[in-house]
Amino acid sequence: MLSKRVKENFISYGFLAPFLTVFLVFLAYPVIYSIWLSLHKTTIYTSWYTPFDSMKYIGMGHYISILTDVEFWWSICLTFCYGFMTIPTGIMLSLLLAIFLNNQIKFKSFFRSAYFLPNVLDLLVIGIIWILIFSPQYGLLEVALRNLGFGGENGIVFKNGILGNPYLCLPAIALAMVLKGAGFGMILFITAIQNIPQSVYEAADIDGANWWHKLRYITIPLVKPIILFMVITGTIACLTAFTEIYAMTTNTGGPTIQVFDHTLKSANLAGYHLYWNFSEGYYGKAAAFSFVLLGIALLISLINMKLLKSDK
Amino acid sequence: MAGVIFKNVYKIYENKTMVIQNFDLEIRDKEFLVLVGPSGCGKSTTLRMIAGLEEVSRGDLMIDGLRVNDVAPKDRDIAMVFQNYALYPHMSVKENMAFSLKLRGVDRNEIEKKVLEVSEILGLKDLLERKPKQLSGGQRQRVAMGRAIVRSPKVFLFDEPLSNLDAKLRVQMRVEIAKLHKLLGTTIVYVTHDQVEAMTLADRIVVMKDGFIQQIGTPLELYEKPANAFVGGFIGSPSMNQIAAKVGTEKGQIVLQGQDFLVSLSGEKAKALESHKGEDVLMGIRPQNIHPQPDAQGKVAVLREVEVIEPMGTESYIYFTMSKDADRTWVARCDGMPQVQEGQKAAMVFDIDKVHIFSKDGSKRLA
Ligand SMILES: Nc1ncnc2c1ncn2[C@@H]1O[C@H](COP(=O)(O)OP(=O)(O)O)[C@@H](O)[C@H]1O
Ligand SMILES: [Mg+2]
Repeated sequence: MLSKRVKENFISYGFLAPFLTVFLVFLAYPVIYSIWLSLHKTTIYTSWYTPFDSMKYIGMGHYISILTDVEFWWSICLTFCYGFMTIPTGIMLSLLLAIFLNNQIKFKSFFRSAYFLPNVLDLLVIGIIWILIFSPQYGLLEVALRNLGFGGENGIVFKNGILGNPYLCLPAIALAMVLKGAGFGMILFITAIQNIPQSVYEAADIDGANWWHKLRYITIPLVKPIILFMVITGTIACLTAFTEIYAMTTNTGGPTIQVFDHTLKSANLAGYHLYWNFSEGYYGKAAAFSFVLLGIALLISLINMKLLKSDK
Repeated sequence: MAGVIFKNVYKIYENKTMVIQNFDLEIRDKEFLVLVGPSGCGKSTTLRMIAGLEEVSRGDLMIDGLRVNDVAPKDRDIAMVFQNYALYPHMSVKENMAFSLKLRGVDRNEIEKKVLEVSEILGLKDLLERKPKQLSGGQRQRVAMGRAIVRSPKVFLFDEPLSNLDAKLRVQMRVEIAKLHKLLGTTIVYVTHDQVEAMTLADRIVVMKDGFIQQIGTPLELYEKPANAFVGGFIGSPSMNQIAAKVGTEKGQIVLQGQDFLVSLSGEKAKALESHKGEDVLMGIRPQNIHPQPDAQGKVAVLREVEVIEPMGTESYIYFTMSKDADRTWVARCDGMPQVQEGQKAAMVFDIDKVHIFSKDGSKRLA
């Protein structure tokens, strides 16, 4: 006869078992395995069908080669640029929409749903929609700008389309992602704003605040947790950005660009670069790369939290 | 001179409900005016119109001699203490108090000085760095008042400031508010549904019901000469006993005749009712004007059974059924312990010159 306590323990572990199984198989094992992987290299004996067999231990070799690789630093640079293009604008746009749609305006619910809608679509679908908008010759934007008279003599505004232009490709992707994400941020901000009692704004009215004071000294400080949340999730989204690049550059990493004497891909973000390494069969290097990215993500999140910490 | 004047003011909300009607009121400079009435009667709406948080639908509102119907709240030079305090949750006590001065571009040292001065008055000195979350209800209440005081406004508005406090703290804060008014000497408009607060704090009271002013007067005026049955019942605790009766005559005397009682009047009251002979009226008498005694000793009294006695120490409440018509049990109040006992008949002796007589529908005072 088991004691009651042991029995209860059994039952609790029973309930935990499904999660633990999934966790061990799909999370713990891959993480540990990829650490192992990051310290190994494929050899001539490694066959295509058993890719992880017969690998050779090379210690920190991958890490050293990554950190001395121009393409790596370029991808990190681009990722930071992408972050600066998407995160602040995304937050500002979300907040603006939230403030706007929190007022008593007509068709409020319609606008809220409309702005949120892109979030239910897959990134690939959104990518394709934007390709149609940005494409050369018959793209929506091209045609619109042409009709507005922006085209040159031959009526062409963007020769290779916006996504074919190395300087516009990444900003265009950023724009698409900001617009896609704004609806989600908007919902978060609306919820936070609605949690601020109306009387606080009335007190501010009486204290002599105009709309800007109220935004600056009341709304923004009180939605700071949402801003922090969006900065952190945004940072992670940038570091792992892959689908949008894959979709909108049709798996090329964007048009090439000449930087000093290196030919580099103009939308080759870190996440996409990682995928590219993997798809080319550099499993060890890709694994090492993922840990470098993890380190960067942790570092940035830490800095974010320090900077944006809501006091006490 | 910072009086507030309402001239025939109406307030109609978007949904067409008329919340304030035909509102005429002159609040004098330095006066402590209390708006009192049951919940939903439009007190907050009135206060919020003074603050500029609600538009005046019709009529004129003047502050300090200027028509302010279209003046924004921030330009009215008023300060308001909200029922839920409405402190800025992310700011410290100090920042909460300094906010309005900061927005006005007051010099930093000046702000510091002012905040310190006010926090001294309110006993907030040790709490300046705390956030509202870290304060008790009473302390928050003080901060809300401090925030209003630092600005030295022309008019203070209080919307049920004590209703979120426990009974003991409420009494304490009530005294402090009274002291504060003496100290600052500013016009105060104070909203409450609690007639005790109104009676103890007010220079003058405005009793409201359903958006109409019922009576304006000093606490004593309202207590002694309520303009109608509603005011009579609302002011005073326990509230006035009321019952329908008919004015009649018996042996040449004016009497109030009910279904199962008869009270004869004399003196002024009788004189005032001469012209109402034969009319149905509403008779009211306060609990402290009914004295339950073992026998009537020839005074005006009705004989009733004592149902319940509530001894409170310094006073007792004696409950009895005045009449089958009465819609509630009557109550008499006496000092100390009563001379009568539960379940026994007692003579309820009336101070007959303290009887209030209203018209049948209670809308008018007759005597
Ligand atoms: N914004 C509003 N829109 C419509 N009706 C309102 C609004 N605010 C208050 N009321 C109504 O006005 C009446 C008076 O409200 P209020 O002034 O808050 O009463 P009080 O403060 O005396 O309890 C109530 O019947 C209430 O339902
Ligand atoms: Mg109210």
